[in-house]
Amino acid sequence: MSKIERRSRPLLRAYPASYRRDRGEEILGTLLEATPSRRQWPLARDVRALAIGGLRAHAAQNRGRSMAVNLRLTALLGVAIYLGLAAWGYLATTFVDAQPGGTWVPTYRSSDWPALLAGLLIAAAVMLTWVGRRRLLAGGALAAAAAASYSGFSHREIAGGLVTQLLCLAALVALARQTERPTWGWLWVTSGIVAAVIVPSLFRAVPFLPYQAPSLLLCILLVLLAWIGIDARPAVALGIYYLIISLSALLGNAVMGIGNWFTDPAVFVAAALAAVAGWRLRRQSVQ
Amino acid sequence: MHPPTIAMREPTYFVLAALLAGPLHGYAIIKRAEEISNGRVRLATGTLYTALDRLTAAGHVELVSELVVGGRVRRSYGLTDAGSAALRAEALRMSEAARLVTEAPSEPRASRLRRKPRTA
Repeated sequence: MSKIERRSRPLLRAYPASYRRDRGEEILGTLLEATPSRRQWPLARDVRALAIGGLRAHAAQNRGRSMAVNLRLTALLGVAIYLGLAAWGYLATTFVDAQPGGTWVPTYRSSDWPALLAGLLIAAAVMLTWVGRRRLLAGGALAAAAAASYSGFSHREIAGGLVTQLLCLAALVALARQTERPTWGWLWVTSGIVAAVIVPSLFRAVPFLPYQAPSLLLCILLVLLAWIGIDARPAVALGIYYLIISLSALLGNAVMGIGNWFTDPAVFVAAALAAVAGWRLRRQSVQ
Repeated sequence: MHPPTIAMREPTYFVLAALLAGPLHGYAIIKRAEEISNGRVRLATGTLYTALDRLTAAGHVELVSELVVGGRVRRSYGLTDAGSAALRAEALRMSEAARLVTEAPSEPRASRLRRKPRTA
């Protein structure tokens, strides 16, 4: 395999697996023929066009599904992103010490094992969604709910966050199906979005990497924006995610007796974003 | 009077135009489109296959043959009757739009208005 082929082949990962199986070799053949013979790397315009072509091919998959199926899958993605970040929140209480000024220092608090267990079980429940076995997922979600509740009780923190997590774990079980599962690529998307939130804080704890952090974030942001522009599903998922965190904050405030529905516009903004994205998804789904 | 047509994007137009002379495979379409557009349209591989997917779904292009060359599949695509009609309709639309400019009086309207200053 030539250098140019080895470097071009990963670009095909932008396309859905089924599309890649059918046309991947054909596209690669054309790309190699069209690349000037002396070049060792694919042309920038080819990289850009393949990335956009891949996103369009992903979006085209929506047209084969009904609105109900598309909406269920995107709701699953939104809930998975929320629970992924919640899992990180539990793990961070065990492994990270937040300093004044936003700096994080790696640490280990062995007394916080309930939080560690809750974080690991919630992450496992999210991953089980992709396996598609509902009984296994229900068992995992139940264990995660018990661990999160125990951690909440031991910290005397029974606020909106815990209630939302329990509701989201229940939603995960309700929305998961054996057939019409989200593709494995979406698990990477969920991990990528969770990483995009975590990485900047981690980089602040490692001061010798000041340039990589913004570049990595910019790359993630550009890919995400391009994807949202082409495919309505991640936009709906992010809208649902923001709706969940807004409702969670509102619930927390309600428990403490501060704020109300009308003083917190975030819920309405999130609902409006989800509605607009949902309208776009309807246009991309089977009519 | 012609039925109204939706304007085609330039790469799509040249992909269809490249296939006028007969079926071609991916790289040959890229080369032919560049040739007939005098080097203006240089299709990226991703753009070509996105256009081919869309045109195949619309019934304007069809798969004609499939060969294995050097261990890789090489598919050739050809114009369908509907694709040929859509291409001709687009060419006609563009020529009518061009005629509005090419057959207009050569003297600019503004200079005609400025020709004779009115005297009292």
